[in-house]
Amino acid sequence: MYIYSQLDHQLVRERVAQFNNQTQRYLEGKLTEDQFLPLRLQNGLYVQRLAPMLRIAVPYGMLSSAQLRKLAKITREFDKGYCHITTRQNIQLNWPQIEDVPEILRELSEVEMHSIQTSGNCIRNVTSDQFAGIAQDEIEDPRPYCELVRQWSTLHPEFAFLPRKFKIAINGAHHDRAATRFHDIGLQIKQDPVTGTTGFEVFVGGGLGRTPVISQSIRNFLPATRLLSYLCSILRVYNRFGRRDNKYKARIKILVKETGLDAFRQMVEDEWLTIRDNYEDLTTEEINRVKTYFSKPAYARLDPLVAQSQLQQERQASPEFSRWLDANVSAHKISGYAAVTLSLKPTGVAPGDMTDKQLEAVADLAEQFSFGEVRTTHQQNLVLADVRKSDLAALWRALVTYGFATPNVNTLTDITCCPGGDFCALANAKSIPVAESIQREFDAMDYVYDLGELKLNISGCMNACAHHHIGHIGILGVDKKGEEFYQVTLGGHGGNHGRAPAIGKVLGPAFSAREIPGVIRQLLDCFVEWRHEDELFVDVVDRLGIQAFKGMVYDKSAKSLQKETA
Amino acid sequence: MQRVIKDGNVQLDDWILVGQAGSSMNPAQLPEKTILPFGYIQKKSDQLPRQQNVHGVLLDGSDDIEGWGEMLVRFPLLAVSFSHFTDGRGFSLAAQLREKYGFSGDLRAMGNFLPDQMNYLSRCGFSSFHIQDSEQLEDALSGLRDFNVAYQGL
Repeated sequence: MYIYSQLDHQLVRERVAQFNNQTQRYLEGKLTEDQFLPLRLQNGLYVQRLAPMLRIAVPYGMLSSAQLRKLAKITREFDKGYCHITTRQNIQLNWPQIEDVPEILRELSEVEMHSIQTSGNCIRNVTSDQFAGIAQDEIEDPRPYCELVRQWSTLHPEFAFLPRKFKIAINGAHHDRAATRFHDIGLQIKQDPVTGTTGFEVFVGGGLGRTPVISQSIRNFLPATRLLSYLCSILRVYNRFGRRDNKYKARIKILVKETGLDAFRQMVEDEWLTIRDNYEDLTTEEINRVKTYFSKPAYARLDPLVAQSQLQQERQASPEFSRWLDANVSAHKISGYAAVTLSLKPTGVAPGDMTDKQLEAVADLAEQFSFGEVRTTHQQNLVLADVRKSDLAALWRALVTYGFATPNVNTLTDITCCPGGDFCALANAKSIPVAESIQREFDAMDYVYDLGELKLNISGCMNACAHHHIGHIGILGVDKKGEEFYQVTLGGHGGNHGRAPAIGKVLGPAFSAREIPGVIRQLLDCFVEWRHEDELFVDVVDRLGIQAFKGMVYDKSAKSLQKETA
Repeated sequence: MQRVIKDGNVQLDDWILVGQAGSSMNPAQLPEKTILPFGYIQKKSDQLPRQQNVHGVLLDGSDDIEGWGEMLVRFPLLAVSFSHFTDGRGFSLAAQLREKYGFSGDLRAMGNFLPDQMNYLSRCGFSSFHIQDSEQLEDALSGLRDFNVAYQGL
């Protein structure tokens, strides 16, 4: 993974000093609340319902064992001994003191970490595919480009006070595991069919939140060496002309919609033409230099047949291990290796939460089994990307001990969930207890497993941090006259495996928290009854339409309500 | 006379801002070193001398300068006013004036911005800074030096 140069170190140190000074001036009353607000947000510091919240950047999800150990220490000394993985692959602390934040940032800087631009109206953490560099369907590893965009966007003087937040995702594989079509800018790596040079298809104007929009292609092919000047042109047009009168209409998706894609493209191209020749764009040497940080680790040459037959024996010895292999272990492009997803979704734990002890355990396991590196996923899990197949059984036993082996990755109970009303000041409703109630309702693993891949996402408000619009089943917390209700959407999809990205459709009137597990049960009963062979839930929603489900759910809930009142 | 930050220190400065009230003035009678509203320039462009070495122009982030760039860069001073420090349009306007139109005169930041933004402002091309609150002069000066390194080759 990327290793800081002198420049990176100095930059982060200077940022820590700047924020220290800002915090002091705020505490002394020299900066008003309103002035301090955007400054602290750009350092990831929120003031939440019960305490401040600090969001720490994990660039495109890459973490080292040393960083995990530092995070463990910080959660112990400055928080309540746990942290939370977010859907932008970042890490949140829920209970730090404002006065301690500069010290936390100083500690983080020792392990090449920071909280720069994890919030605020600026360019946020660049996200990517958690299987980058190891996926079998990869065109090119997106991480060097993620790193180059990270550097370019970090403390960019022109784009720190945008109309609204700005999110970029980069995908390097044929299948889009980074939900690029739901970002302000999505970059899909492709190769020029004629010259074979690497570049990007550029998508613009996607996003979730109050107005979910699927992005549109603004440029079919952009050479990689022109990436930064083109990004600058898009950002500049947005910064100049994006709406600032209404924060709900301030994202670039609204500008693109109101301007029209063709007119918007023309504005960007006009800007680009005037700046690109004098712009300090990427050179092939610079791209190659950054690529060296993401070169293949020292893989051993393994006999795939030996590993396979050993694995077969271990499978037969333990059905639990076998199930975990099927659910949580993914293919690797190097023979004899596999990628392991650590589930942070056991029942009874807030999705994505990890204790200090668990952070340290993962640090050790990463060193023992996966070259000392870990990845966070936007589904709020962790990945050990480079595990020898012959080590899988030993790793599994360790993961069971530490609570990471729930074999539910990509199933119903692998719920993506925001912190919701238990923590977040923006939330309209709680989300964690709803996730838990669903996990408890569906505790029969055989049943869950037979359902196949099923993404369920729960957001506590319209800001859609848990990406409910692209959940196969989405749940959105809404406030009705001071009471918490939950709207259900069906058929959302991030867009991959040949399926177009789709925004979930609302099933009908919202439900109470108490009704939700029963509603999900009804939906799944219908699915099981209607599915053909191995169809996924989302396939059946596509085939039959939402009306079919709607009729069943609302009829039945009307009946059961009658029963209860009777 | 007012104090502005320029070339890394505090300097006395005698540019005068002509408000919208000055829009009725005859271009021939304008005193030297007046900063004229962009609207005035747009209205009286045909009456202004081609060589502009005595006046400045006041812009703000909402001004669309498309088509006016060539004329604007002939002035020795362009001022960009910030209505609120979170309104970042002026940062891109400044970058455009420098990069797209090649403005080489004094680019002045005015209005509502924070000492904490000085470094970014200067890196977007601002060369002088009118600080409203004189008590903030020191913080603003040190803000200029918040960062000594940058990723961007600006």
